Amino acid sequence: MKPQFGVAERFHAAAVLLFLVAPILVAMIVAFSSGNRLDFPPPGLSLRWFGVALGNELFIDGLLVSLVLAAASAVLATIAGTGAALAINHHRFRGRSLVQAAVMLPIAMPTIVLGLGLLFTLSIYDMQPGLLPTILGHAVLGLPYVVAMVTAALASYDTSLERASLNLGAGPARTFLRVTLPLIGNGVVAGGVSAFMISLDNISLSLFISKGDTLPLRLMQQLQSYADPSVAAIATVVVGLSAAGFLLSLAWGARRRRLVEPAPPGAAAGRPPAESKEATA
Amino acid sequence: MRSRALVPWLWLLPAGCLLVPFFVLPLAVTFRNSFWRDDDSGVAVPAFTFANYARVLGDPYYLQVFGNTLWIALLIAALALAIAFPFAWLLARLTGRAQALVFWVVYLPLYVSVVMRAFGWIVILADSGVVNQALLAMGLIRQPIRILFEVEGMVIGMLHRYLPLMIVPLVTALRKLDPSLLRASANLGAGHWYTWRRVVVPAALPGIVAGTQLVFSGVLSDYVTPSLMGASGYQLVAPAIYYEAATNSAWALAGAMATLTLALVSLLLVVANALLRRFAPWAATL
Amino acid sequence: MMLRRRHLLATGLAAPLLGGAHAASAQATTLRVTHFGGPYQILSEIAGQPFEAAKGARVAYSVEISPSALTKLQTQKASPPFDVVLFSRAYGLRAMNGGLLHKVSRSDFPEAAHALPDTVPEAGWGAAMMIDSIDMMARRDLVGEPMTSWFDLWRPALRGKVMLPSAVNGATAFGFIACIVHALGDMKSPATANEAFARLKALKPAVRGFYVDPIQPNQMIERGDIAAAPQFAVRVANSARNTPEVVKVTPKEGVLAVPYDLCIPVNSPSIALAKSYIDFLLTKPVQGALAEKLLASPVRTDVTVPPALAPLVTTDPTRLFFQDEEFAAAKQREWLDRYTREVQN
Repeated sequence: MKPQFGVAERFHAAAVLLFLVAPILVAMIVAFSSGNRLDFPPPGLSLRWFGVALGNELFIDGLLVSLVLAAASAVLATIAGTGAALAINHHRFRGRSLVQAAVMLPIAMPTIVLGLGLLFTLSIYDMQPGLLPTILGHAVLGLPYVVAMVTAALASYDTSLERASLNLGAGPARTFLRVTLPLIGNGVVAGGVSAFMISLDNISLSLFISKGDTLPLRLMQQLQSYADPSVAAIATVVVGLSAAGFLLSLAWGARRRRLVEPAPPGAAAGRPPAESKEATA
Repeated sequence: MRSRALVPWLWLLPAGCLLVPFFVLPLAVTFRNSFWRDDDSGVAVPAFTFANYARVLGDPYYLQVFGNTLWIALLIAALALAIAFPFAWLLARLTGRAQALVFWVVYLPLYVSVVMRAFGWIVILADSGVVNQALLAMGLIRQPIRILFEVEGMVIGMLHRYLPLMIVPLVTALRKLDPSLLRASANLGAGHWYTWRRVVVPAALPGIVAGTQLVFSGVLSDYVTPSLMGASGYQLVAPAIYYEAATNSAWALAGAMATLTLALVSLLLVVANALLRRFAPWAATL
Repeated sequence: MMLRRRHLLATGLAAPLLGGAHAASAQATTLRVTHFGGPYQILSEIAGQPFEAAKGARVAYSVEISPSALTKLQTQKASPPFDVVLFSRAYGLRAMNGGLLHKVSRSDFPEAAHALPDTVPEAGWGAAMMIDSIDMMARRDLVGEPMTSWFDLWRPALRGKVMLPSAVNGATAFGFIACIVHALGDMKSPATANEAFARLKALKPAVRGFYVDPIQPNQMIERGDIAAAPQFAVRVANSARNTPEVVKVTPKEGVLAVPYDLCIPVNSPSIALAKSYIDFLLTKPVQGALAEKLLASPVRTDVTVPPALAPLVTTDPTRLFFQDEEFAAAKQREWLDRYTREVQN
């Protein structure tokens, strides 16, 4: 039976969506402005700011740097975070509570404090502000999100499946890869995506330990001086990229569904979809 | 078997390699700096003094800053929860493409650059912005309301930034709710509100806890939003720390403020978890 | 450009494997220079490339505002990440006092013979590349009579339409206070300072808000939400260029000169090359390009700007006053605290 949503519920949901989207819509409309300033409504429509933005070497390099940064730090955070979540949730060991708190601490900490502290410790590791320290710093920031998502996925996880696998002779590695990982896959992917986003948008940490060349920093530098629609244009490009990514993942999900046997109509009634990767991508 | 005791630590190894040198150590350095002395020339000089802590805890200005930040964090967490809960409940019951699309919109504020979002809000909330123009045109007000660069504007900006962080954990928790429980409750004669209170909310509690922790911590440590949209008379902790550290080069003082902030947040998390364990053990995360 | 991007991607992917080697030490003839970002990226075109053509050394620019550059120098003192740092003058002094900079003198720069005497400060922390100042920006259509004096801010017609810097925005706020004190008399006299604060306190009702981010008043004034605000001349000029109603006002009492100094970190491996670069920036063609493109006052006395830009760039050194930086540094905390308590609250 399809869930019925009341009028009040729909209205509230629409209002929330509008709230979430409003500033972004405004910014995107300004990106198409034909004027020189951030006027809203714009005096006319034009694509010229997209030309300016895409021709701005600093923006494009910034986008590339940010993408590389986000991907690398997300991978690190996911590996570290998944391991930590498994350790905390599957085993009872001394110091477990402490580890659990420690792993979530980076969220609680003002990022600029971490940035300042890292700047001091970089010289100990003979590192200079740049790409590598920023990847590591962002990974630290993304770690709690991965842990949170994987923990949520583990909450409904049946450890007896693991034991069964081990009893049947599969080694721990194989058990992990073939049993554990697919079942918590949702959480791992959600965590990785969260870590990716956190890195992509980070300013306060990059301010200290990068060379000032990530996209959000470039946007901020531009906004603090010129404040012209090219900033809005490049941000619109990023939104466009993510929309494309989303549509691709939808298509991928549909393709996957077609490859799997469709369940008989009655059995899945009322149950939320068990695996909707698109939802978390 | 002895090797079994090692297993959790093996799983923790990657996280340890990441956190110890790049998180624990910087924290320790910050903590150590808080006991040093700020020299007038802008360097922190090795010493052992509580002067920085005395300064932060004794000066009404700094106490005000902490108070402001706590209040704003609580306010935004409460607002986010109130707004997100009905929305998350609806989103959890959506299926397929509709759900995926709405999720994408929910994530949107997170990867549109915070600079862009702030800029959008500036255009909307300015004295001559969209909101004021509309209200004036409708005759509801005679003079533009000052929202931008006031506390109200900053709250809106922060709420916008942290709402997705409340929505997602709530949806994750609510998705696990078996609809047959709802039907059973209805069948047993429970009214709408009763079901809501005794079935839905407890199931959502882990999500509520996770979301509140994320939003609260996020607001407490937010530097960018108050810098871009904040009210100058309403100082928050993170910009104050940056101001002392980078603009004044008062490293030791900044270290003291940072340590206190961290201690405050940790204390609140621990207290919250203790309360949960007492009253709703299935939702405790520690 | 395409090659650079592929190189960037390759570096990005290889860096974790190679363990983040120092790019600087790999190439001895690359000069690492900082600037403030945004419009300053024009430096690569008007300074970096010509310098490379003339001397054969590549110039690599990165963006650092003064506070973050100072922070990085302090934490990386033994092996600084830059060879030439752009500091606003107050930070240059601070860096010098912290033992972070290599001391220079006027004789290090032959081209300085054509520049203002204040170009290289006594203590020798660097040489000014250009001079910004704390001017006023105003909407000519909203202020009535043209503004000529700092005290025109107190006009009753401007009530609620003035924006002042917040104390958190230390550089602008202090600069503004200095301008008012200087306009009333001797900047070093406590009586004059008291008078200035009394007047500022009286200005409170006229103030729409106190801006933290330097771009805020520009956004407000372009929209007509405010009518006047003290602001850095370069920023005013950029707004005025885009919005004809916004004008730059250089009050007759004088505006505080805020030189942007090129400084050399003390442990830089390329000190001679750095000095050569700084000297290059003091040459006439580069100074002319800086004035035209960045709209800041040149340090050279023989540079002229096209007539169209004349209202946007102050080339008359008599309109500027240079403060005693040591005095300013000593007074900064006190004056900003007073400003916070008496004016902002």
